[in-house]
Amino acid sequence: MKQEQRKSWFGHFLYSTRRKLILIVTLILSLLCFGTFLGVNQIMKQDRYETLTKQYYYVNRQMISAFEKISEELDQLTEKYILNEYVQKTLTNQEITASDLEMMKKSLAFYNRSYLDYYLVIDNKENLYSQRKVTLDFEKFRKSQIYKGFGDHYSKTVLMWTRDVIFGTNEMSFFVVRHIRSLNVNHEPGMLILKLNENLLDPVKDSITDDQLSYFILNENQEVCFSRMPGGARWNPEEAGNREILQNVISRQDGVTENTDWSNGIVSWDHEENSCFTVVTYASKEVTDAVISKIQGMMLAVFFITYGVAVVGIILFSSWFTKPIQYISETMRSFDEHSMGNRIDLNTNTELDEIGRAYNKMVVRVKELMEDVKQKEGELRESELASLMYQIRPHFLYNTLDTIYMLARIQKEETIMRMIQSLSRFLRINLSNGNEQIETAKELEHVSSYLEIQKIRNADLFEYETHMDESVASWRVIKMILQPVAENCIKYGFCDIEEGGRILISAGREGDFLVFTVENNGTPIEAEQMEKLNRLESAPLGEMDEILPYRQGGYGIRNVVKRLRLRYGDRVRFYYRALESGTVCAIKIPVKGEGGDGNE
Amino acid sequence: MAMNKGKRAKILAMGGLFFCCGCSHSPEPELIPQTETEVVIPVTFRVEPLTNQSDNEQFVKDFNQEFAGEYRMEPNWLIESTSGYRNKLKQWNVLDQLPVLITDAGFDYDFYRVLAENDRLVDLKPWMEASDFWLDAMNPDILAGCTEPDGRVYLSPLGNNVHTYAGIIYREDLLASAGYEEFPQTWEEFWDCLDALKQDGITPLALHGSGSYWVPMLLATAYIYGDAEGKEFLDKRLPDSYQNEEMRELMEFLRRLYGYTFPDALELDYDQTAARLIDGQAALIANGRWMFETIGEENYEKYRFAPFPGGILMNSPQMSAWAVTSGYSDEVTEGAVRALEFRIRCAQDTKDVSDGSALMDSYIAATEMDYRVMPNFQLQWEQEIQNEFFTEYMPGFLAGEIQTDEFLKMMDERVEEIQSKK
Repeated sequence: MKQEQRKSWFGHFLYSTRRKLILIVTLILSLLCFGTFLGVNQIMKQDRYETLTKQYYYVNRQMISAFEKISEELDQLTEKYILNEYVQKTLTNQEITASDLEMMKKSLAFYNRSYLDYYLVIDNKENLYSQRKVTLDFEKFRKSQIYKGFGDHYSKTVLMWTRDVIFGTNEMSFFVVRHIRSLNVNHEPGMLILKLNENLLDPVKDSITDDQLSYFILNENQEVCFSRMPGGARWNPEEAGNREILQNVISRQDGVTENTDWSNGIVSWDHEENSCFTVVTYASKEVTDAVISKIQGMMLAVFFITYGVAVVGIILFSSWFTKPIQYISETMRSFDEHSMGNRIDLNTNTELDEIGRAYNKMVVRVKELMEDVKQKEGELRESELASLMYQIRPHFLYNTLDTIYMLARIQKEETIMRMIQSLSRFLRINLSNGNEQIETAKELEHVSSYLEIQKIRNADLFEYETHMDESVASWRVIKMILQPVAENCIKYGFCDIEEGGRILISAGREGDFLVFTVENNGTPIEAEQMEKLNRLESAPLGEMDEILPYRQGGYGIRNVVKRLRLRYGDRVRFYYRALESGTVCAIKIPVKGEGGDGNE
Repeated sequence: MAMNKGKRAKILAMGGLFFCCGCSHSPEPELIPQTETEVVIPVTFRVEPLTNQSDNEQFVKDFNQEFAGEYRMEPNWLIESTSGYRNKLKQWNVLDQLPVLITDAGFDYDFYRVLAENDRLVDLKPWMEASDFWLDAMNPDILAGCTEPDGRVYLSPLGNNVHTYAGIIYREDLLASAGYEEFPQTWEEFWDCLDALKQDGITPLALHGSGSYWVPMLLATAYIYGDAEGKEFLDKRLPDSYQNEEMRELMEFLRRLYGYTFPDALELDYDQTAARLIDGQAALIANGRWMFETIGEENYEKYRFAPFPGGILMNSPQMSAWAVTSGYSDEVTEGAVRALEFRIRCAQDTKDVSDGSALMDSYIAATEMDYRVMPNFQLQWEQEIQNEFFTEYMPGFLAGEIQTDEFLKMMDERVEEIQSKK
């Protein structure tokens, strides 16, 4: 039963056009998405290194660009110091007066910047000029990285990250150094040293847009002078992973842009040409994978949006398309003899309208055919009956039976007299001058005549009784519906007895029904046979012959049920019930009103 | 270092292009498309603020035409006075930003020493010797004046003197109105002429009051160069003392000159004075051939050129010398040297400078006379004396607040100080 339900649901599911479309679209899009997903994933895996390194190269270039701006800014700042009138004056042997020193301080104070901590001007006679008190051991100074930074450049601005051995902090700091050359006369150059703070790197920090990456700036000795880690973590050079990151850079520095991909992520670096600083960008494995996941997520999102749009589209489109089909389908499914008046009313401007019109024509045609068939059947029956009547020639038959009755009376043959009398009554009611319907009382008289004849024939095999509610005596009913039932009582009910049989026939009223019962005390009807007979009242008319084939002797009963259903419709009841000793058959015929013609 | 210079060359070249686009200067950008193989030569040429023109514009066009596909000169057109440009040169040097090709490389002896002694310039001697005409085109005296004691040659002046003489440039019509058809040939006639002009309501002299007092000093040095002692003094480089009779005469001459110029002359710089001359507010000025561009070709018929009284011309080829700075890539350096060589060739081709104008004809006539050539005092005397001492004390002297002996004594003291600084 469950399997049947599943089949039915699946059949219904497949039967729906909308669902079929959704199923197809789902399959196509899923295949497409799956294929694209796999393809893109494959391609991305292949191109991941190239793509990401390009991206990180761009990030590095941004930082380098910011660094170049810093270099330009420092170039311009140191220009001011070098061209300062008083600074130039320190290069000559001219005496620097206290007033000059004051003016120098004041004018150099104008060059203050947020990233500038201190300046130091050392003239070519090793005099020091600074806003701080600075004492310098020149022997040590000449060995320092700061002094070496001047190199043999004529007047190049050099930025460096080194230890502060001048201003007393002894901390690693940014310094910018530049020779101070005389504008007019050939002198030994002086030296300009500016100590800078971390504000110097503000442009570099501002150029950082991706917080998921790690950024480093290394000086030429591969010392980290700037770091920024994801989530604000602090750079710890002692950590093993961290050492590995920079080792990748340090071991492969060759002055050009490089990238390396290893199991822990991608390291990308670039050199700032003027300052020899190296900008390093590190993307951990998690970050590089996140990029792929993000793209895949985007793909899935696009797929689901596309799928959603497609499904909504299908629903909207199919509802416009399938609603009329469902309407046609339901109308056709509910088609029977009671819904002949139903019509399909469609106005979709599609071929469906044509189907609706064709259906309507078909219904009209079917109704016409059914009425035609019914009329022809009636006419045929009446014609057959008239033919029989003509063959029988009832008056001749009745006169002959009367003559026989008179001869039997003369010879005092009472049994023959009863038999002739019953036969004559049986035939008279049987023919009824060709009428299809007779009064209920006549129907009881007809079956009584039949039983009287059978009683004489079967030598006291059974007795019979009839009872009738007088109120239904005049109700008209189709004739010969009790005789086949009574015949079966004798034929099957009393097949196992020689005498003592009893048949009780009654006619009465139950509500809106005229009720006949035929009961016998013979062998109870077999269950299988009773089930077949009881199905006759509800089985399709066309299938009745299959339930009770003619060869199995059910013709009489089947004929009775068929005539009753054709005449009175499906409210007619006809059923058998096995009793403890015997069988009862009930026939219930619906009536419209009291007093005659109760079934029309 | 070479790479940095190369990068800077590109930046300067681009800056020059930007400058050309952004300013109202008349030189048109050249239409010769640059090819990938061309070597860009970054140069900075001065544009005369008064005329908004540069006398090197044609040179750039000719060079780029001649060397198309090989070299391309990308000039940064700098609208600046001569003195302004020279100050820029000094700044570029201390900032290590000199363009590969510089003009006026020898205008200031001290500055030239700075360049020469710090290997800031390229030795041109090997290139000259390798050229099939360069050395031949050089006047031996001029070449000798540009050769270092060790034989190196850093300056590339034009090969001949024809373009570098200085004398008197005067308004012919104004002198004519004062009764002078020709420029006076003696100093006595000179003073008479000035008086006549003054009487005629014309300001005779265009003088100025700042810097090295170039115009008045040209006249004054020409005045003392007329006698043997004066010539001996001026021919001496970096004299130890200025307290002599020749300088006393020079100072008195100066003081007298300022009686014939604008009342506010001491407040003017050279460029303002030149502008007044061109406006017709003065009758004459002392200057060289290079001022003709400032005057403008449209005015060539109004002006005449004459030697200083006494038949004296000043010639200083080093003043017009160009040089190639060091630190650029070999390709750029070679291109710059080729530009110098090309300049000499062009000067050879245009040795006859006459264009038929009255000014040019008078210039040619003056250089063909029997004249004496005096040296440029700017190259003979300490720069600090000219640039600082004169600016500081000359106004006081001319106003009579400082006496001649006192002035010369202070001058000597400054010389001593300068020499001690060195």
